This record gives sequence, C-alpha cells and structure tokens, in this order.
Amino acid sequence: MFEIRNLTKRYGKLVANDNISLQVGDGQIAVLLGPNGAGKSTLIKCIAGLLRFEGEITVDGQPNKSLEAKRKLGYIPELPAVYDLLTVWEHLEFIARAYRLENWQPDAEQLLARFELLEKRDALAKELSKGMRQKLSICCALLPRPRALIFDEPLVGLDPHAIKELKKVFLELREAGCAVLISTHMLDSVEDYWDVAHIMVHGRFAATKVNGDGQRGLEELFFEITENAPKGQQGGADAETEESR
Amino acid sequence: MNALIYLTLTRIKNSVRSFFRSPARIVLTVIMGALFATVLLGGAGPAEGARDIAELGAGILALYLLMFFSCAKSGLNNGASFFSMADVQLLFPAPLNPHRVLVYGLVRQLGVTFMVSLFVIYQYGWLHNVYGVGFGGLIGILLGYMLTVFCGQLAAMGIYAWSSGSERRKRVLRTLLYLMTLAVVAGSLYRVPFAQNKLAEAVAGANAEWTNLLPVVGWLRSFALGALCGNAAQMLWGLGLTAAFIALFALLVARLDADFYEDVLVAAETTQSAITAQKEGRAAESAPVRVRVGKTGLRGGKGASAFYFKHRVESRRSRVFLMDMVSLLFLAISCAVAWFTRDSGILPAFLFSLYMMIFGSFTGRWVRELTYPYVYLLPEKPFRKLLMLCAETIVKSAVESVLSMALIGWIVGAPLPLILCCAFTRWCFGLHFIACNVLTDRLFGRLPRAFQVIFFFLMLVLAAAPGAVAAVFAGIFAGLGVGICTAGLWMLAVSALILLLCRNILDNAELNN
Repeated sequence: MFEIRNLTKRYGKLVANDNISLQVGDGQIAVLLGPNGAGKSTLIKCIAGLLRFEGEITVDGQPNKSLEAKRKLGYIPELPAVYDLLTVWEHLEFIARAYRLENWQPDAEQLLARFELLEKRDALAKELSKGMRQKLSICCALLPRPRALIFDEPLVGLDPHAIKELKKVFLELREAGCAVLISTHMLDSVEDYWDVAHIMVHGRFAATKVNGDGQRGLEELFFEITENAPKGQQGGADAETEESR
Repeated sequence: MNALIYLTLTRIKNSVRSFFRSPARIVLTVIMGALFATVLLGGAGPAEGARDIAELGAGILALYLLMFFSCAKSGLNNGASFFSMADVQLLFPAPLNPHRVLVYGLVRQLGVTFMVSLFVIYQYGWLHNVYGVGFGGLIGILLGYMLTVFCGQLAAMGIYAWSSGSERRKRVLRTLLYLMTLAVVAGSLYRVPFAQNKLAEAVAGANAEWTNLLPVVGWLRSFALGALCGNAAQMLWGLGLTAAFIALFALLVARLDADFYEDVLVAAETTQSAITAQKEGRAAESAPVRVRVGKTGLRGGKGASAFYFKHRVESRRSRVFLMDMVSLLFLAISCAVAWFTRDSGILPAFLFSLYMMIFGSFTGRWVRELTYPYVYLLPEKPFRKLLMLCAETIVKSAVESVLSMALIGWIVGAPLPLILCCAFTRWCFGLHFIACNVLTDRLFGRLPRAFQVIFFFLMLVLAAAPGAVAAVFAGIFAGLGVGICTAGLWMLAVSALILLLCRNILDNAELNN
C-alpha cells in the first residue's frame, strides 16, 4: 500500500535517513525498531509529508504529497496533536469537516467509547491528561478511516486499557486490509502482532525480519544488532534479512 | 565553593561560551549594536525645540505604573517565575538554606529583567530629539524600568505567597490592586475634563508632588527624573526607598512563608511548559486560566474552511471577540491622537493608526496552525488552506479598520467617502502585514525570531514603498481620497501576489521552520 524508494534525508551534514527502501503491503503491520536517534521519527515524518527528502514515497501508487495520497494516509504523531481550546467532540467534528466526512458521528462515538473518552466529550483538550490527549490524537487520525497508517511511538503515555484497545485496533486495521507502519522502541509492545520488523541503526536498516522466519526472537536480534554496532556503523541499505545473518 | 555561587558562575560562563559558538547570535548582536550606535549617533546633535520634560515625567510614571500593575497582578494567578524547573528539581530538594536559594532566584531574575529591559535604550533617538534626554538620563530611565519590573515580580511573589491558599484573600488583593491603580489614575487626571488645555492638565496631574511618594513607581520615576536633571539627591531618594521595598518584600516572603517553594512551583511549571512547547515547535496557546466553554460545535466549514470556523471557536474561548484588548487600547490611543490633531484633518490620525498597527499582532492563529500536522495532512489545495488559515485575521482586520476609521473620522469631522477610503486602505495595510508575515516565515522561518522581525519590517517597507510613492503623486494630482485608495490598492495587489507565491508554505513543515 505504501512504498519508499531510496529515501535519503539530510539535516545539513547529518544524514538522518540514508538510502532507505521499504514497502508495507495491504493487510500488513510493519514495525520500525531502533535505539534513540536511529532515524525512525524522521522516516515517519517523511512518509507523512512533513519533511523534504530525496527519493520517492508513494501511497497506493500516488506520490505522498498528492491530494489522493493524503486522503488515504493517517498519521499519529509522537506528541499528541490536539488543540487546547477545543473540546474532545469538537476535535472529531473538526476532522470530519476538514476531511468532508459524511455520517461520521456513530464512528466518532464508537472511537471515544473504545478509548474511554466518552465522558470527556465536552471537556477541553487543555484539561486532559497527557495519556488522554494521546488517545484523542489517535481518534482524530482514525476517524477518516485511512487505508495507510503510520504511528510514531503510539503507546507512550497510554494506560493499560488504552494499550490493549490500540493493539486491537492494529489487528482490526490489518483485518480490514490497511497498511500499518508503527515506529517504536518498546520491543515487548509489538510482540503479538507484527508481520515484518525493520531494525534501524544510524539512519539505515540494519536488519529486516519477517515474523515466523528464523530461530531467534525479535528482542534477541535487536540487541545483537544494536549492542554490537559500533558508532557510525552503516547497516546498509541492502538490509540483511535474518537468514542472511 | 558554595553550590549556588558555582551554579551562577557556571551558568554565566556557559552562556558566554554558547554565545561565541553561535554565529547567528553573534551576527544578531552586531546588528543590534549597530542599530544602537545609529540611534545614538542619530540623536547626538543638539536637541532643538525640546518639549517640556514634565511630559516625559508623566509618560515615565504611566509606563512604570502599567508594568508594575501587570507584573504584580500575575501574582494572583501563578506567582513569579524566579526559578526554572531545573532549579525546582535540583535545588529545592537539596540541603540548602531556602533563604539563600531565594536570594539566588532574585539575583537570577534581576539579570533576566535587565536583558528584557534593554529595548528602552533604542528609544534614545526620539527621547533626545524631543525632550533633550542625554545618555545618563536614558540609563536612569532604563534602570528605573528594570527595577519597576523586578519589584513588580517580587510583589507578585509576595501576593501569591499570601493569597494562594485563599480565594477570599485573592479577591481582597485583586480589589485593592485595582482600586489603588484606579485611585492613582483618577487622582492624576480628575481635573482634565474641566481644563482648557487638557494635555497640560494631565501632565501637571501626573507630576503632582504626591505622585513621587507612590511606592515603587513614584520612587523610581523620581530616580529617573533625578538622572535626567542631574539631581543626585532625588536619585538617592528613589533608589533608597526602592532598595528598602526590595529588602522588605524579600524578607516578608522568606519569613512569612518559609516554605516558598510551593509558591514558585506553579510559575516554574508554566514557564517550563511554554519553553518545552517552543522547543517542540508548538506555540503555547494564549488562553485565559479559566476558559468558559460556552456553546459547543464549530457550526460550519467543509474542507479547508473548517480551520476558519475552528479559529472562531478558539478566539471566543480566548475571550477575543471582534477586537482583542491590545487592539482596543490602540484604538483608544488613535482616537486620542485624532482628538489632539483634529485641526489637521484625518490624515495625521490615519497615518498614526497605520503606525500603531506595527505594534499589533498580525500573526494570528495561522502561525500556531503550522506547528500541528493537520494542515499539512489535509487533502486540500495549499492556497485555499493558506487563505482559510488567515481568514480570521483578515476579518478581524476589516472590523478594526471600519471601527477605528469611523471613530477617527467622526472625531475629526471627515466626510464619509474619505472615511471609507481610509478604512479600505487600513484594511489593505492589515493584509499587507499578514502577507509579509507569511513571506517572512516562508523565507526566513529557520532563522532566530529576532532576525525574522528585522526581515519582516524590511519586507514590509520595501513592498509598500512603491505604493506610498504612487499614493503621494495621486494625492497631489487627484485629491487625498484617491491618494489613500491608491496606496490601499497597491498593498492589496502585492499582498495577494505574496500569498499566491507562498502557497507552498503548506507543502511541508520544513518550509517554515
């Protein structure tokens, strides 16, 4: 559903993403793992169209900055993107109006119920806790029913119920044929549902592992790569699969 | 070495180091220095036809009173921000004497206040030319301003310490603060409505002997005037009483409320969240502490126009209706100028009203919107999105223009067609501000804020200059109304062109930061 070809992102002399190629198919959950500063959030922001880059990113065959691609893409940022002076319900109304959605109210109510925000529907976002703001941010991204979703550290700050619910949402999105990319450094949080994992080190893919392939678990592979990688090691755009390692 | 002295010295040392490692800050300092030198040299000549220094004394009292009142009032909400969150987390739990920690906070705050007071020195040119102020006098005004702000913050801390736990005490203090300020204003100006020469009466009222006895503001005005006239005794009187005030309040805060840590925590957290928001690229929402939700729902908007309706809801909850407080204040000042210059027709007041717009805010909510992902993700045409982001500010500018020019026109007795021409051009000037803001963000969004301000004014002048020249010629040959409209039409065309050319500012977040 979305594809990245030879993506390079530089900040001055610093190469944050170095010749990255990646594909996430329909009904697939890909996870992006890596230590702090590996370049995960930069890659996510490039896909969301927030940053300039060299290379090519397409969503359903369309360039990611085209209107067609934007209609199909959902983005959940690392920091909750909510407006302090709007109520919870008004956030969803704003998204519905901005995306020209019809009959969105039942979906909105269902989302708020799932994330235990119904009681807060008339509360201002400035009155919400950090976790609630994150849940609202997730609801806003899910309301337009995007076909491709990118999550940047979505579980940070959520309570156990919200984590459980969000994991269910991931699985439902996969069932519905959506392409999902999740960036995280919480390995145990993705154990249950990932299809393919990309481990990033120093702006490049150090390894790509398909769920069920190989003997080693994700955590074992992750630590082997990240703890043995000398500073400045380039994992290689030709990322090794676990078999090749 | 004492931990607090070590911390103070290390902070100073590191800020000096980081200054020399930042070329942008060095360049900015050179530019600011050059500007100051220009101001200094520009005002170096003999001041001819200097106005009565009593007017300046009245102005200084008004400025100090405004600053002291607004600083002290913040104590009713969240105290004073003498400490950073790092201080709160590292110093407060440490085995250090709280009184020494308080002194450390006061010294640190004095440094911060000094830096933000430096804008006063850029007023040297006109102060010298109009009132014959020398460099020593300028430093006196600067020190007076700095100490006023500092004492206001100290008073805020005292007010917060005494009233934070009791709504009744807060009410009492709020009432007292307002009543005292009103009493000072009324006591100075009560004769003005009955006087022949209202300006002279207002100045005389503000310079009455009793105003020198007013705590902090009166004392420091005496100090500043002493510096202006070379009267050392007057300076010592003002400074001595202010020093006593500082010592007394510091002692009160330390003695009456030995556990002042809690009292500065709210302010420290508020400041920290604003700093964090800025670092994370989010603009802090300038909302009142208690927001009245009122009616819910956006009540309109499809696609990009949803932003406009959202902004209306946000403005209503920020208690900004058609005009904010700053705009209302500027309107009042413009009306006062119109009244004083009514014999010269509408032009001086109209030009003054344009000048006042420089100090207003034309950034609006669209700048804040750039820090959220929605505007980039929304599948709508970028130009439409940009227009809708600016729509609320455009409407606000139109309302302000009609209202202010109608009032000014009524005061000076201008004909209706001329008032309409002025209102139209003032609105176009507002659009010009918005467009130049967008252009600055588009071209120089990555630069430090001070640079952006310099480039903003540079572009503002450059883009408006041809229109101003054309307006002068049109005014000479076809009349005042046509001249004013010519300037407006030019700025309307230039603004539309700038917005059209900058529409890709919403292409990605990096094009503006």
